[in-house]
Amino acid sequence: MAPLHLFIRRRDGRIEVRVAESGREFIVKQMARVAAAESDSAHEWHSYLHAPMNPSADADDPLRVFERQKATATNAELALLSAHEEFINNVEAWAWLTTLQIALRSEMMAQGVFDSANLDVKSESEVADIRSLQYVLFELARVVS
Amino acid sequence: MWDDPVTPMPVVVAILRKIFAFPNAKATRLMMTVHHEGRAIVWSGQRDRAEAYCVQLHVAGLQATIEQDS
Repeated sequence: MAPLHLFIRRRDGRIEVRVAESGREFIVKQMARVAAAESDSAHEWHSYLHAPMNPSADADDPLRVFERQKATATNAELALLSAHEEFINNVEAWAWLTTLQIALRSEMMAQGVFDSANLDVKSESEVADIRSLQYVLFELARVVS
Repeated sequence: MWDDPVTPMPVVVAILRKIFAFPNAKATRLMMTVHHEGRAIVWSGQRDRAEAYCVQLHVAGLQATIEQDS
């Protein structure tokens, strides 16, 4: 029996999204959180999105921070726009991957998971979103090119 | 580039391949170095390009920094 995958690359290059409705809701929720965190400085995840790039400098380059904000917001917006599609293209798949990866890292920071040992002592309910995001990302990485 | 405890290994490989156009073997080798040693130098060269790559890694949700070669 062939393994069941969430994303299948078709011969015409499109990527079929085989995610159940509850899974779609979860994905959309995570994409929306990233998009909201970008535009809302009071959002829980906002500070996680722009880590310093040059630790030897007193402050990161504001222009580079702005560039990252713009690019991250664009990816999140594109991911959200295509979140309900049955088929997505390569650009949309990349937007999904980067947006959900940012959601995963933000969730990690919010949960205080900074190393593997720290992750192992958490209860399954505490890390349910992390596990779900890891699964979707693992599947998505198979088809991203 | 720095390790984190949650990012799936194939995701790191996919991102390195996409941003740097590395072949699969090189991207996998760098990912394993990050996994085992906590960090890896994924690119070195002119500062402007290093910053641009660093931005792309951040946008892709990976932790990266730049530093001057000593």
